[in-house]
Amino acid sequence: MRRGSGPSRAYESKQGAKIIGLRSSVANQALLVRADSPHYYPGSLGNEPIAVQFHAGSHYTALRLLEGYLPAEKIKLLHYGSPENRLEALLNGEVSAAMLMEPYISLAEKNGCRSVCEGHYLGAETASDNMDEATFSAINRAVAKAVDLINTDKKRFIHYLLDDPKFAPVLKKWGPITADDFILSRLRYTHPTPYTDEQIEDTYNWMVR
Amino acid sequence: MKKVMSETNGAVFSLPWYVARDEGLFAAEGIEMEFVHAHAVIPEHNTDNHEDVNPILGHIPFEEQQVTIYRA
Repeated sequence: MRRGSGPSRAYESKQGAKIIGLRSSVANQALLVRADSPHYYPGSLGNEPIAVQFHAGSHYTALRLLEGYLPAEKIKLLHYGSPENRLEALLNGEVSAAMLMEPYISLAEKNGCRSVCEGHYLGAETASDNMDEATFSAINRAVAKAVDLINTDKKRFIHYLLDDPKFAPVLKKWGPITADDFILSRLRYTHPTPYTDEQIEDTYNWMVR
Repeated sequence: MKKVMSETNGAVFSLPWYVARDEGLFAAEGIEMEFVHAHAVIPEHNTDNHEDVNPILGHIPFEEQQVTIYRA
């Protein structure tokens, strides 16, 4: 069984976790190669090392994208952990490609990298038993209003991505970038919705096949 | 005001939550929202076997019950 998604993490939790909805961020993961790379499409990346974070969006999005082009035995994913490590491995030439989300995509592209394929994907809100339904409903009402604000003017809110403490040292080393360097359609936000039984079943069936 | 502790892991995933806090949208719902960053995942070696990696990853604040919710 593949263990690469929110449902499996909830299952593995020692403190007890339950998935209570889909997150409002429909994140995007892009498979990026360096400017000098001979790869221009995913089908040539067979047996090439690709940096991902196992059991996270970069892992299962890479599989979902690459399995359309390559047999499973030629897909060579390596666990590099957090996105700053994957970007570093890509730019240093340790790997042929890396799966990254924003703002690492825009920073990689600013450094000459190009996307050979990319995909949006769902994510889960995971909570402990201490999260009650009334509180989660109130949170979702606030988040929905924030989503509407963001979608009115995405560029206004990009500073949150640039100011992320984990991103700051990466930006200092490989930047600068500004809000003008982002492709805004990659930033996709929707009102919070339930994680339906059908979606869970589809995810489960993909994981166990 | 009800205090809620939320783990965040990458600003792109939690952007609406940051905006809701800073625009007073959580407060309008009677919620005081506080964030704790997930831990960075820095592997000791770059394994190609996903069975070698704990799926909990950097969601340590949730596992340690510092927060009640996270998104990933």
